Amino acid sequence: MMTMRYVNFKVYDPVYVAIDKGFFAKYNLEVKIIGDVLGGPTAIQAVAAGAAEAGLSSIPAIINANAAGLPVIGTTDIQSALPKQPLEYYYVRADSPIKSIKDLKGKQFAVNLIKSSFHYTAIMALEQSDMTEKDVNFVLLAFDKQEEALIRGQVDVIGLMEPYNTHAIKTYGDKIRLLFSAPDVFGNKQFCTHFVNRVWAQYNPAAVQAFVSGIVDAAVWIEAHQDEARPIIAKYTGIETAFIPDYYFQPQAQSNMADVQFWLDYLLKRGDVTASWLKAENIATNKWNSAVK
Amino acid sequence: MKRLGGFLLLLLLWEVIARRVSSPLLSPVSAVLPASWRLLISGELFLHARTSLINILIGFSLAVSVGLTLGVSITQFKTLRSMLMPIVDAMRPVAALTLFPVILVALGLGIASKAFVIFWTAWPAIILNTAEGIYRVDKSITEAAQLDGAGRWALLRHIIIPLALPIIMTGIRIGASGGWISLVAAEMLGASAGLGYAVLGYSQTFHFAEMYAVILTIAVLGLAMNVCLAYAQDKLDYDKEASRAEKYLRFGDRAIGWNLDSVRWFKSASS
Repeated sequence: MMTMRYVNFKVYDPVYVAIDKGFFAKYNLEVKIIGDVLGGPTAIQAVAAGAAEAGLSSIPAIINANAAGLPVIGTTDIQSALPKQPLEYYYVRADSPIKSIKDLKGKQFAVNLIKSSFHYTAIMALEQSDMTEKDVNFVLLAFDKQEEALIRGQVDVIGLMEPYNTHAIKTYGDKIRLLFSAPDVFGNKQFCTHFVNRVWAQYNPAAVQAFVSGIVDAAVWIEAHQDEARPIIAKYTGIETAFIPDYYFQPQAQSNMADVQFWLDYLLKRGDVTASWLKAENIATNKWNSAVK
Repeated sequence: MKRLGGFLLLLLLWEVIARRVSSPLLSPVSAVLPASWRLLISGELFLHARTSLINILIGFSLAVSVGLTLGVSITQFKTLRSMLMPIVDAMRPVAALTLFPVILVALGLGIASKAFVIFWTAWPAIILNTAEGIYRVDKSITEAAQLDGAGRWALLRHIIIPLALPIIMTGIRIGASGGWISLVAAEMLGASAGLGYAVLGYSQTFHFAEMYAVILTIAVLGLAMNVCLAYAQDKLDYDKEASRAEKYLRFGDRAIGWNLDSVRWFKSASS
């Protein structure tokens, strides 16, 4: 049996389902979860340092990591804005005078991480309304603290993903109002992928292939068995089943190379990444995904 | 000069290890120092340092005020001690990070919440050292002063606290270090500037040379604060205070002269 270590954090992750339903074992692979981290960049650092072989992160973070020389590469989908799944939701209080993005000037805008997909989506939304990131005050605040901060008036806008989005709706209902979601800004895009250490993958192609195949099987199974998947996600994340929504992936959980290129172009255009030699295929690949022709 | 030599050796070791490890995660000093300079001349470092220093100064001042007041109080009132010490002991291991939801509800996201996190880390060392310093004051000195007619306040002000000061100052220095340690945690709480915030930002975007430059700044500022406090501690050392007091005595400060003469007499008599 091959083994590998995986750095997780508490989001809807098909890796949990693949472990629980034996999809990895089917490919002779044991995936050991080595513990929660703060977010994607921390997972990347752990993998680059050799503390694990795989993790999950936003595509912008994987781009930044490659620009800094860290050997990580995206493999499979974990978070995508899709027609049935806006993924990123930006809320204001129901009684807020903020009616559109144009009203955000001078407001307190909570994001989970700086230079995260939420931060970039917010900046893009501002740019589309002829503003810049300097027109709002971005406040660093973890997802689980944001809804409380919004209700108490400590921030004016929050950006949530699942399961925090469902939690906010079920907890505060008519006290919050959706201002915009990610597809309003740039349509449906992939935000986040699993990744592996590129150097490790080079020497362990069978293990990477098994890891990717297990995730693809899990993603396909989840889309067909949403109600059965919920308790598994609840078991691994500690999140109540009631707050776990239906969840969808890119076809065959593939890395969407056009979306990877979109993020890369945007970061290069902003000057956040100066490594002009970077190509989408340096950031993510489908070469280990046998389901993708 | 020897201290400077220690730092230079540390920097040299850092450079050698970083080059040997050759990982983007560990930037060598030769990359960190230019990054520090870039952040310095751009004004970015100043902006973050100013924000953090304000957070530290407010949180630390609060910790010193509360720690000293409670530390002295529990030595004077047994009931208060019985009530307060179990709470202090129970609260000490609770990391400020775990209290974020409470802090958020109670203090919001402004400067008060950051100052509170720093206060939370700093105050136990101050209260415990203050009490310990006071308990260690030789009973024969305080009893003699009481026989001379010194009341509780005079005893505290002129005898007990001056003699306990070295230990109290040690507590304040430990508290200050604790405050700096919790800075990163404090600035994770809804911050938009500060050295802790900058460390997180550079770490998350893999700008490791800049990240280490900010860490270096935290170390330098923490060291500067400790040096200032050590200087104050040195100045407040009893023997030096006594010799300074002799000068005051010449100008007729009889109150200070009385207590220091008493203390000196009892110290020499007891040794």
